[in-house]
Amino acid sequence: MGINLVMQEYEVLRNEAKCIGCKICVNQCANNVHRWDEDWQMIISDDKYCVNCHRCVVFCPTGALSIRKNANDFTFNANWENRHIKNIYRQAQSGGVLLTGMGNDRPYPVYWDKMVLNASQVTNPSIDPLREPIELKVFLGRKSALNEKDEVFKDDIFPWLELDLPVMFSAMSFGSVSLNVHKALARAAETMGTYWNAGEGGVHADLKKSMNHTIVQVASGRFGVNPAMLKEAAAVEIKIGQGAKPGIGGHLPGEKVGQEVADTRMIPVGSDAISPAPHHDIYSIEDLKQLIFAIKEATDYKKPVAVKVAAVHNIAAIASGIARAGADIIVIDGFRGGTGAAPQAIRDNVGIPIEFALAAVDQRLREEGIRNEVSIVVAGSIRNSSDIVKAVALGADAVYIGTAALIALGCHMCQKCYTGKCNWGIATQDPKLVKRLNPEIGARKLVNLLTAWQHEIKEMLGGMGINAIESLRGNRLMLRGIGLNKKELEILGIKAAGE
Amino acid sequence: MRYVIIGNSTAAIGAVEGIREIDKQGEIIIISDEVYEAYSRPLISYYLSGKIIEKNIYYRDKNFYVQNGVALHTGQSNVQINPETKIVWIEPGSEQIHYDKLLIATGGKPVVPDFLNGGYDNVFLFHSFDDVKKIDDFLKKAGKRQNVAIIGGGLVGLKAAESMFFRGQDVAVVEAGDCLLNSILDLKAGNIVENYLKRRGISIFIQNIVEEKEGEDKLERLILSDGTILECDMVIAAAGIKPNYAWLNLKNLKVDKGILVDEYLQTSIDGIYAAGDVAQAYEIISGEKKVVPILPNAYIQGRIAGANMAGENVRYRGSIAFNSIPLLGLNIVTAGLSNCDDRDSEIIEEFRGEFNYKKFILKDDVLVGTVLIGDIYRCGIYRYLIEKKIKITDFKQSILSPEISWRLLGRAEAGFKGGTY
Amino acid sequence: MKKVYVIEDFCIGCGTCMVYCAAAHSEYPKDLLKAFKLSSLKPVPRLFIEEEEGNSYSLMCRHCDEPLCVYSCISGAMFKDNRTGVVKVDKERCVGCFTCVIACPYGFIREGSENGRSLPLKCDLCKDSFDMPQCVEHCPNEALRYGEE
Ligand SMILES: Cc1cc2nc3c(=O)[nH]c(=O)nc-3n(C[C@H](O)[C@H](O)[C@H](O)COP(=O)(O)OP(=O)(O)OC[C@H]3O[C@@H](n4cnc5c(N)ncnc54)[C@H](O)[C@@H]3O)c2cc1C
Repeated sequence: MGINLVMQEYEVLRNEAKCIGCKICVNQCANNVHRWDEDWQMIISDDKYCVNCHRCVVFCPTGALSIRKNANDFTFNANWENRHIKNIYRQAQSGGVLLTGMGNDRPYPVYWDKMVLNASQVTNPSIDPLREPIELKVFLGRKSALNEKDEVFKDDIFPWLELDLPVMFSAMSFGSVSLNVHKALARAAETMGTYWNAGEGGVHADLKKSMNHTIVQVASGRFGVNPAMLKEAAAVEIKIGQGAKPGIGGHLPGEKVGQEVADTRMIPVGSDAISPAPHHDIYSIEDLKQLIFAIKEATDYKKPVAVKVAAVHNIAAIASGIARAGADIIVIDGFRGGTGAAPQAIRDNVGIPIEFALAAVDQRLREEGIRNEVSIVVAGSIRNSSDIVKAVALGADAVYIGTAALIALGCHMCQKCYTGKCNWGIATQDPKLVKRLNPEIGARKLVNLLTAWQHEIKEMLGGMGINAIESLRGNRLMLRGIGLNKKELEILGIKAAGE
Repeated sequence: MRYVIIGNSTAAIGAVEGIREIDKQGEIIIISDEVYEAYSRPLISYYLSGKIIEKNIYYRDKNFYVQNGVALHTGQSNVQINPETKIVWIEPGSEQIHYDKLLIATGGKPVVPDFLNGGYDNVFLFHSFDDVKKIDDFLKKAGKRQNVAIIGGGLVGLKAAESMFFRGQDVAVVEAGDCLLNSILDLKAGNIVENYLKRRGISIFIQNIVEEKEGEDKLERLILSDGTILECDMVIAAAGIKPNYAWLNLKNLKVDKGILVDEYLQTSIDGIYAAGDVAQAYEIISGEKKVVPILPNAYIQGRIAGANMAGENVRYRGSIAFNSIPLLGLNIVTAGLSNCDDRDSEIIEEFRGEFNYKKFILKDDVLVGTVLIGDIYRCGIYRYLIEKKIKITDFKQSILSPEISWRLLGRAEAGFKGGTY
Repeated sequence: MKKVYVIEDFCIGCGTCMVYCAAAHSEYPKDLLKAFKLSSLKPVPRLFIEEEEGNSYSLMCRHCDEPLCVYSCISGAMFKDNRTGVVKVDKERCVGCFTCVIACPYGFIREGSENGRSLPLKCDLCKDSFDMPQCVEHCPNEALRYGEE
């Protein structure tokens, strides 16, 4: 085999003065880093398997453990960064595509952090959310007829999703995440008056009672899709692309397709679930329109249909096409969006920032006079309440959160989702690991997170003197840019701070 | 309602507690030939060895009798009963006491080998508080290390040996059978115990009986079958016990080894119950009535008899023998037919070191007995499997696993909620 | 009576309950580190984690209504507290014969020792030092519940 040149990424530091030999670390590490050694009569840690997920650190009852980045750097070279060298070692060893999980971790600019919000002073009063009501409700879906000639919609009220706050849980399939994640998301969505998206792969039978808070996906693999599911769901989302891997399909390896996943996806146990890169029946806006209307037919025109695309170069034109194809909601997933597994080269290098995509799409739809025919939902690394407020000011109707929700459930962002050994019971199908996520605790945490954000959003709105989130939508005057060049400001459609 | 209980030990206390669960009012009378409030018989050896103080030998709190409204008559060994008229006389000629329900809880009586019956003043029994008090007095007067010969290598004999050893005496045990504790251990296990005790300094003579004896007022010398001459300053008789019912002399009372009782622990005479070492009640493994002279059994039988005397209809589900006997720091537990090694049984066993032994005896994949020496981790599970006759075919292999689990072994009986005895 | 129940779907067998249980019954009930580092005797947990077919369960004394351990106790040291329902050992009276260990059908009583004396070790619902059983208090996955059945 020869020597493996890939050095351990992390070092496990055990404070022996605090270690009581309880072996919780041993049984909690699915990567087998820690083991009890009979000869040494102590716990030995094998650093090279450590993925820095912090399960052992958090579970150690005496706080005896900490994980450090391995200090062994290569000689400094601004061009040949450590990661490049290590990746070459890895690929020279394996000959394979480098896989990763979660979102793009490269230091691209985060434009949310380069925009600041306004607040009222003297001439226009701010509003105290503790004294006066502030409305966060939004309705997603078409707000006007497709066009005057369209008979179908002429006198109809269009199907809407009613959200008590402009946040939903984005698509993460059962298979990529555990059933307990779905249970937590579903319960939290119900409690908070919003929706969760089951991703491509259907909805487990245990969650049937939450269908009216569930958005289901029709993706290129069509896994789990059936008329009953479409009818029961609150909305249907056609997934064209995903921010973390635009242009790339999905591959759920057969090992993760146990009985439950197989039943839910309607495929044989143990078979690989491959979602092709494109929908093989969609080559044009017209084809997309056909699928949208096929779904509308199947759901008696009672369910809004969303189309999800990754944020790529021509996103504005694409969005316009989607709107014209009859979608009720356009979902744009930025290049920092999470994933259960993606080739690292794609994740880190394909797609554009969601902030630009959103600004461009909103602008374009307004210019074309069709903004009110479709709602815009953005996703791809919404990290906090101010990101949401900024997104709405840039033109979004609502946001999807995926990574943030998983973090609330305990994810420690080790980016090893694709291994299936998630120690936090999130991105795994191993029953022993799945158990680690108690959906009751999970739902409670999600509800807490959204409740906290709800308060913060109200504070920010109140500060701007706005008493309804609807009034902020597309109100770019509430934003100012910091450290942005002219072109960036122009695309974002905002002024520079001080202007 | 008036309840009369004869005997004042474990079974009697169980009966009082059983009665009081149901009947808080009825009058309870206990008549005992001993002069103490109920004490724990097994604790006499602990008392003698100095491991417990006198106060802690008592089985219940000081105010037990008052709290439970029990009239206790101690030092009465001449009780008379007329079952036809339901009358009890505490002593002949005393006032008649009418009873509604009567319990016989007179336990067992030590069997004394003939050769010890000679009025020797250095021969002792090992059965009652008084017995060990006498031994204690003797030791104190003697002042010097005594050669103590113990006749009988059963549970009582070894407990006596242990306490004498703790008192610093020179102890020799004489056992006629082919190993120590042979009512509960087979040869292999018996040998482990023998080696252990020998290692600690107790002399043991297996397959030996006393062939000759020397001494006038005192037994001074015993000559054993193998020719050994045992010098002795003291002799303790521990040659077994037998159910103590001969004194009753009731013509309609059915007896075998002990007083025969039905599934409600009633004897053949209406209104008269029996419980404890004196009773012969249903035994689970054999499916027959047997005397199972262990304390848990005495308590449970007493308790159930009490409840039934007070008008309940509690069925006695039967017992199995089980024991836990620490000897000089060595844990020995047994349950069921722990000394059985007949041909149609399957033995699973394991030695983990000289004094660490596990043995399981199975018949048709049902556990019928177990012996654990040394490590007794979670042994209650095995006792339960024996008692419930659970087929363990599926997990026979894992029975020796150190990670024995109730879930695994007990799952055969779904929904067990514990404790309906 | 209030007891500890395991919610089987969420017991992950991590052993946190064991650690806190052992500490709660040690010389330093309220200090984990001292309990394990300074106690003269190794702290021993009163509960058991059983594994079966990939599932795990944290289990301890059921404080039975008809407690066989109490009925079998040769010294009268094991008793069921009338008020709380807790099955407890009176350490002063116990002679360490371990008849309770073989009596308990679940095998929930451990043989142990304290200051050189044999003593049975069992769950007492932490009544002596805490309001809440420590296994329940510290279960990271809320898989243990303290309450009525
Ligand atoms: C040394 C020793 C150690 C033991 N160790 C253990 C052990 O570790 N584990 C275990 O399970 N068992 C042990 N046993 C057995 C246990 O003591 C008995 O099983 C238990 O005491 C039986 O209780 P009982 O109430 O049936 O009878 P007993 O305890 O025998 O009590 C009967 C009572 O009735 C009295 N009595 C008898 N005749 C009359 C009469 N005519 N009138 C009035 N009163 C009468 C007796 O004096 C006595 O007080 C041990 C016994 C001995 C002697």
